[in-house]
Amino acid sequence: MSLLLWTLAIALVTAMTTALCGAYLVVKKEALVSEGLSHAVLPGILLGFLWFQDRNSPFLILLAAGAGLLMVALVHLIKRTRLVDGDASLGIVFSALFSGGVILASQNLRNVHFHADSIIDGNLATAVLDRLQWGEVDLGPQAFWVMLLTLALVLTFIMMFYKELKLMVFDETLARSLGFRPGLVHMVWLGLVAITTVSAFQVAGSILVVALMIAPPAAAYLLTKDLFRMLVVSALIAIVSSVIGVYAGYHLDIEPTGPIALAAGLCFLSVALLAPGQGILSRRRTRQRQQAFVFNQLLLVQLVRGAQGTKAGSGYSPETLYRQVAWSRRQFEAALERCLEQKWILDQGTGYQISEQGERYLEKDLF
Amino acid sequence: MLGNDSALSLQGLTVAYDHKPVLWDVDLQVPVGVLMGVVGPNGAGKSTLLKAVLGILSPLAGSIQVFGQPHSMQRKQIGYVPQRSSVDWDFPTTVLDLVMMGTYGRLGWLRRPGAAEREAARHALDRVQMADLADRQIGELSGGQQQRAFLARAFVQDAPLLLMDEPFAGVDATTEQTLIDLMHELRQQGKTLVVVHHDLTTVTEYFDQVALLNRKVIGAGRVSTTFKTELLEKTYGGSLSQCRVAGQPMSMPDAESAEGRRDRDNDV
Amino acid sequence: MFDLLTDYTFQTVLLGTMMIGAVSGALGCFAYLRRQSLIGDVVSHSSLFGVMLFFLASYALTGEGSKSLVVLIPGAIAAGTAALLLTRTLVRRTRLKEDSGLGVMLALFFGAGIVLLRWVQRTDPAIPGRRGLQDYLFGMAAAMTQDDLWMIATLGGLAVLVMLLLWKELKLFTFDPVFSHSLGYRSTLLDTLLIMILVVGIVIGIQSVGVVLMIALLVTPASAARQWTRQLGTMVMLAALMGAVCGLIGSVASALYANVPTGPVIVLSATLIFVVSLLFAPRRGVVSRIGRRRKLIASQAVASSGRSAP
Repeated sequence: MSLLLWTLAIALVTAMTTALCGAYLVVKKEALVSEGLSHAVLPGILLGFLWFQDRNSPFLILLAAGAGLLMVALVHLIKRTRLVDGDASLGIVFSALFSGGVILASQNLRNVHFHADSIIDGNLATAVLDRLQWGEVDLGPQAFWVMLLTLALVLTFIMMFYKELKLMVFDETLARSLGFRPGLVHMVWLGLVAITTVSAFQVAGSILVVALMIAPPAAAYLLTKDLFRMLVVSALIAIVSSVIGVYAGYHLDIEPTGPIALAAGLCFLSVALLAPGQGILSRRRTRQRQQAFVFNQLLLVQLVRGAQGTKAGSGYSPETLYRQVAWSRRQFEAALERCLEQKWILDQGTGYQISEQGERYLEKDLF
Repeated sequence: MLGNDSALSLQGLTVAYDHKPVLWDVDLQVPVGVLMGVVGPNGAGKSTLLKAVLGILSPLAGSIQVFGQPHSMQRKQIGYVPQRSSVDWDFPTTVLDLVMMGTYGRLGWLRRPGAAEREAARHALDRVQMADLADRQIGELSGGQQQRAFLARAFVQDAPLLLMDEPFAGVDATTEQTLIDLMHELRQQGKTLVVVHHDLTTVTEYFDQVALLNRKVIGAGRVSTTFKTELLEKTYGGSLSQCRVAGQPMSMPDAESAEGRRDRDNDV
Repeated sequence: MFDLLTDYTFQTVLLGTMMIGAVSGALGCFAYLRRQSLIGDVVSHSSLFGVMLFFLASYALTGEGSKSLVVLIPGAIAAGTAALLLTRTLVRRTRLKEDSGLGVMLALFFGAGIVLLRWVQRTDPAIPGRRGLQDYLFGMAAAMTQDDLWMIATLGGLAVLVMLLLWKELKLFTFDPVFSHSLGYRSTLLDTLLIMILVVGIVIGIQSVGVVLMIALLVTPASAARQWTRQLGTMVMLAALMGAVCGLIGSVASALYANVPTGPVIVLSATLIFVVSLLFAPRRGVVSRIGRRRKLIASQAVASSGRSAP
């Protein structure tokens, strides 16, 4: 297999794993926890490096995931004092942990060749060269197998605890009353997210972890309301983004992680604009339809109201009608035109009157 | 019905949030010097009504007159007491500062409050019997005290028309009594009060007039003639007995999902 | 140490980081009190995109990419504001929640910024002036020039001036936006103004602490200052002071010890101040609360034993 294909394979597995984790975070409205985690694991990774001297050691991953969980615990602790707002405490804790990591990295510690750039955009390109050997056989890049293992772990957990996770994100109170322990499930789940963050961080850097944990699930969130479908769609969008990103990175001759993040962001943007039902354009169309309906009805109501007050048969002049409503001239004329076109309002020569069809249309009560 | 003797006069008021109508063709007259309660189920548009009068939401249609003039010209004639839960009480400010905010409308852009404003705030705190708490941080107040501080802020606004959004929510019985006494005192001075209210059991005791609201005005007028089972059932959509038993009206089964249904209807 | 004080470069850096700390500390209070702390993270990350765009524009116009803050900060302001306004649109127009909206904008703008940065670094032939651009990621206070200092002072001063002039309005709007609107102060106007001065306060700091850690400069001093006071004015002054002190510590530490980056030291000293504030602030602090509870229990014990005594 060529190096490019291996890069793509690593990117795909990474993207799917992070997107699956992110889907739950987005639904649970804690998307930015991923931003915190992706920074907070840095000191753990560096310390793990010092001790184990191996970037793919499972111990390193566990240690760094521990740093992630430490962040979650500290944020929780600070929140519990009720002295500081939740978002603020997240910002404080992750920036402090990350600072510690950067200082550690800047100290030229023995055998730590951690370039600052790789903190942001990882080293997917070089990770491909780091092969896993079994005797004489080359099994491909180590990073691929690490990510595949992580994906298997995440998938297994989701399959085994699908129901519990669903209750955790949608209704903690119900979960508790049914005898589940949403707090415990949440903690274990965040632990898993932290493990994913760490193993993805090695190849993808902090930017890609955040981008892939938030953008594909956020897009999926606008496409479907069903959790299972959302997981599938998130994974699909993650796959599309990595394919685009890896090839774009190859052609620009840069780390593919930046392009993958950008592609994920652009995927989201197109979904947000175009999604049927929930997309911005579609919602605007719905709103315009609703608005027209409301304006039509209001105009007809004015006519009915006028008919009660004035002599029957005389009708309304457009100016009187316009003065009754607090709309712009344009809105008023558009509504009048629609009503005339539909024959809800009749022009009697002396003025406007509501027609029988108009009265029937008015019956279509909204409430 | 010319609205000259009305403190507040709404005609054909239609207000939409995100172009979904929340108030539909509302007519309402509030005579000068009355204490009016506005009741209705959740999602009936009670707070929306207040916000429209305050000029925070602009209506799709209809007119709002305050003392015979369009409401946009009468901003200084309207005082407002928001729901207590609408602000963060951990905000770093003192009770006196909070009350002084009532003078900001009169001050306008860029001018700072001075000794006169401080004096007015102290005086208002005195009226709600909280003079000794002036330098407390607002988070240290009890729920009832917070509500009284809000009321003091409205006193400082010194407006002839006062709009209050659920002033009794989450306060104890003693505070509720103090508040209603203060409201009666204000009415005695010729002020007009419009109060969004939740508890149907106290309506007859507290208010002169009542407006029953559920997107439209179902009925409005003197409590003795308007606050009738028939109209209430129309307002709350049926099972009123349950509302009464609970002491607080239940939320209408699904104002929310009714909205959703309407959306789908419109889509077709 | 005395050599340092007379060193011209050091003076520039010291003054610059202290000003940045003070401005972002003061403005951060408003972000904190509006519960929009994470805005700082998104604005600073997004600004990289604007920085790169304006760098490339200056290259296209003059043949050499400029790294002067005079050129790059307007780009940063534009991109940061765009990210926030887009987030506002997303939250208003779709069912997405604010945290996801912010996250997506971060992915989009920062992703685009990184792509541009890496491309500029790799492209052949080299774009003149590209060296040192990566310092925007983690900050490089030591590279601050006299021009940069003027830019920071002007923009920061302007933002603080707006804050002081509109103090009454911003305070009211932050505390009770609905009431503020009911008094005739238009909410969208105040919201946009506040966003603008916040963005300015954030972007002038990115060169010294970097986009990744800027959030700490905005949020940590504000959170610490909140514990000591019950007046907004005092809180803002304290946060500004704390921010300036952190700037001082950071620039001194990195001047004294080689290889110690300024940004992280600033952040860690802010964190230290925060922890101390959380624990030991009078009245609010954790220790004082525990003390009060102890006293309360003790006095109750005394009272009950007093009652039980014959």
